[in-house]
Amino acid sequence: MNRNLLFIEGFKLFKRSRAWIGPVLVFLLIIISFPLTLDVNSDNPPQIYLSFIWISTLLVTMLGTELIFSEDFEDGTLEQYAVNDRLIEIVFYKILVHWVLIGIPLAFVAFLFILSLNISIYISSIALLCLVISNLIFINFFSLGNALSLKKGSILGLLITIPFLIPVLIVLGKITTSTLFGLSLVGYLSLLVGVMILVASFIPFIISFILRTHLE
Amino acid sequence: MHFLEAQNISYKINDRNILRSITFDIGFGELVKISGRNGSGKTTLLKIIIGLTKQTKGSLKRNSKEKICFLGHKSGLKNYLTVRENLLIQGLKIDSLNLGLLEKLNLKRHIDNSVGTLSFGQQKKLSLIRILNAKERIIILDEPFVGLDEESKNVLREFMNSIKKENRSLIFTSHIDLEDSYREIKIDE
Repeated sequence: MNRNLLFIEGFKLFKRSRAWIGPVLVFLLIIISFPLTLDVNSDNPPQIYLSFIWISTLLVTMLGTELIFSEDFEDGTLEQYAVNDRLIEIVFYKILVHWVLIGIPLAFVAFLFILSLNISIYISSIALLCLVISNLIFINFFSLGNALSLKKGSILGLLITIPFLIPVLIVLGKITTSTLFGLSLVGYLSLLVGVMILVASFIPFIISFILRTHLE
Repeated sequence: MHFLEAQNISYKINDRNILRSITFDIGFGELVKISGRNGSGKTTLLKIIIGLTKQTKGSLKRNSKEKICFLGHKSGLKNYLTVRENLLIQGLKIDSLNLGLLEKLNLKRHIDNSVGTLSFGQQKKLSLIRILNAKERIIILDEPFVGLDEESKNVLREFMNSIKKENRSLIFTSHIDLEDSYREIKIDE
C-alpha cells in the first residue's frame, strides 16, 4: 500500500470539506425531517425506519461521490497518474478515502438515529454493520457511474449504475426482516460481505480502464 | 541506446490526418523539441509517446521501463489548496531547495495563498516546481514556456541544460524558437 498516495487523496478530500461534510449534513437533515412526516401517535414498525435509512444512504452516497474523478480529470492530475500506469492505485485510494470520510460517518449517523428511535441496540448494531459494508458497495458503483459519464455530466452514469444496486437493497431488506423476527443473519451477511469483496476488488480495475479511455 | 524508437507514426481522426508517417528515435542525454504550427499534432505526438493515445499506423517501441515525469497543458494544481499544500500533494517538501525555487520564481510570498488567487503565469510556474524536482530520467513537457516570464524561462533553460549533463532526457513541444541547443523533430511537413 502506498501510504503517501493514500495520504494525498485523504488530504485532498479532507480539504474540500463541502464534499464530505455536505453529504453527511444532507443525510442528517433527511433523517431529522423523516419522523416529522409520520404520525407521532402511531406505532411505526422499525422496518419503515430501516428501509428509509437504506434508501437515503444510497442517495446521499450518490451525492458524495459526484466529484470523485471530475476534478482530477479537469486539472490534469489523472493524466499524470496514467502516464506511469498508476490509475488503478489512485482509483482504489479515492474509493477508500470516500468510504472513510463519507461512507462510515453516514453509517454512524444512521446508527445514532436508529438508537434514538428506541430500537434495540442489537438491531442498531446490525444496521451499522450493514451500512458500513453496503456503503463501500454503493461508493464503488457510483464511482463507476461517475467514471462512465465523466465528460457527459454525472446523471447518465448514475442512472445506469442504480439498477445494479437494487439487489443490494433487497438483501438489506431481507436482513432487516430476519433481524426483526430473530432469524439467522449469517447467510445474508455473508452474501453482503461477499458482494463487497467482489465489488471492491474488480470495480476499481473497470474504472481505471474507463478513465484511461477518457484520457485518450 | 535509444529508449524510444518510432517508425512511420501516423494518427488519423475522423478522416483527418493529424500526423503523417513520422520517424524518430530518442536516447538518454538528449534534449528534443517537437515543433510545428498550432494544430499540427505536437500534443497528439506527445500523447502517443507517453502511451495515452494509440497511433493509427506505425510502431512505437519503448526500450526502457523508466518512469516518466509528464506535464501537459493542465497543471494538476488544486485551486482550493495553498501553494504550500499543492507542493505537499505533489510529494514535495518545503525544504531549502524548494523555498529557493519559490524565491527564484517570485512565488515565495504567495506560499500560504490559495492557488485559485494566482494568475495563469504564476500557476504555470508553480506547476514547473514539480518538474524541477523530478528524479525521473525521462521528462516530457507540453509547451513549458507558455505563460512564463523571462526569469522563469531562464530557470527552465538552466534545468534543461542540467538534464543533458545528467544523461537524462527531456522531450518538449514548442512553437517558438529557442536559443538553446536541442534536437528538433518538425511535424509540419
